[in-house]
Amino acid sequence: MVRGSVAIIGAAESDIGAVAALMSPIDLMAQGIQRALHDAGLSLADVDGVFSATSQARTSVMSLVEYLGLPNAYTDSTIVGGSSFEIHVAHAQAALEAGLCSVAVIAYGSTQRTVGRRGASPREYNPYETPFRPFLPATAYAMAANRHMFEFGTTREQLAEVAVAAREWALLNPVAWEKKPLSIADVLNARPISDPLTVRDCCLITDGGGAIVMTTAERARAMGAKAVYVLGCGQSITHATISSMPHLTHTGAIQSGAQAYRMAGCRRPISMCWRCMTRSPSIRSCFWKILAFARKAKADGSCPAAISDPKAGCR
Amino acid sequence: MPADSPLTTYIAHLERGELAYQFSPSTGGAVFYPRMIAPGTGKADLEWRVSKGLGLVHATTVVHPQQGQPYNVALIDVDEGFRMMSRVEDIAPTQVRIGMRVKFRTHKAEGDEPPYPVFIPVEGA
Repeated sequence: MVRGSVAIIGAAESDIGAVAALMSPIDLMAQGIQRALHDAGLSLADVDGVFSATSQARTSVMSLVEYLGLPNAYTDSTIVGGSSFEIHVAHAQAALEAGLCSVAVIAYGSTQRTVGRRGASPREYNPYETPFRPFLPATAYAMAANRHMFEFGTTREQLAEVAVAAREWALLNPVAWEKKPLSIADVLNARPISDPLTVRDCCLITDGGGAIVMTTAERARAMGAKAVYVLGCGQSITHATISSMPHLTHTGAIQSGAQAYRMAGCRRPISMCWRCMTRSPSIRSCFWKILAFARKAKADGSCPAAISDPKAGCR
Repeated sequence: MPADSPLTTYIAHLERGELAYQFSPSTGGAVFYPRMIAPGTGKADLEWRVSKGLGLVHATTVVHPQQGQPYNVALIDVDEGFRMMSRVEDIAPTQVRIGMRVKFRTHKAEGDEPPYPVFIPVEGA
């Protein structure tokens, strides 16, 4: 794929936090798509590519094209967990470059707060893990954190700084769920989930959804759209289960990041990744990203959380 | 005759008190969890072997369920060169440490649940 061949020209959130009663994940996807198309200055009639993922629908893109009435859309509902949508961007880029579609929407919807954790994403039975009752995904992150503390001397307080920094970001967001600052002591004293992690280290369970609109760079320029160009994409799936993760403190982001920067023709991926990736208010994903890059942070003598602190000027 | 599933063979070993794994001549390494073909090479050359049942704790956590007692979940690096999820028993879950020497024992089948492997500390290690 070619650097900058496609662009994101619209983006929107659905209702988030705690949505109205009886809202479905597909309702939220549709709401996000309508808002994102409005943001892009397009309508549903322009859309000929549909990409979606949610843990609450096995064939979400079938449900979504049925709902939208787009039977001939090019579709993909790759599900690889939280990075499904970054991979959708890459797949949409490939489809747009190949001329398989001209305007693609990528959508997510979840009512996990309303239906509960078990209702939203029931775990698959794995005969090599399920008997030990890991509380997934927290237990997987907990064991990675345990290794990180062992290998690098990372302290419990430093891990808590990730959650504290994420909350600082959330306080800048008017629609964030949590409205109050979080202290390191709050994190350490919260209800334990899977040692060393407490409930405050873990993702909030909230309803939400959203969508983005993508098109070719040529069309984006012709529309005069405000466009965010896709410069590079990468993918590395090292494991699905924590017992098969090759190194608990090295994530696939090392490989996928390198691929993305190679495609983009950029150097210094580490520092730039920090800047773009730590904007996420998701504690879990921040934590995961820190695992990928903490070797670098340690080499710099800098605390990982300080790099993601909004007050540190790294926006 | 259809092939036995890898899981069936694995459980049959556990029922005999054995921790089984596979070895792949094409990759030159141990393979776990058990499979039909070797990862990477795709060869159907996997040979079943029985582990001596000794290993080291690679990572550990204590899970705190909303109901019931906290319990250990650990990743064990087994000496023959494979890693597996399990738990360490016979000591408090908070006392399990990375690098702890452990040995396998079978958690016997209960009702519909097949046997599974757990580990206990090696005395004097």
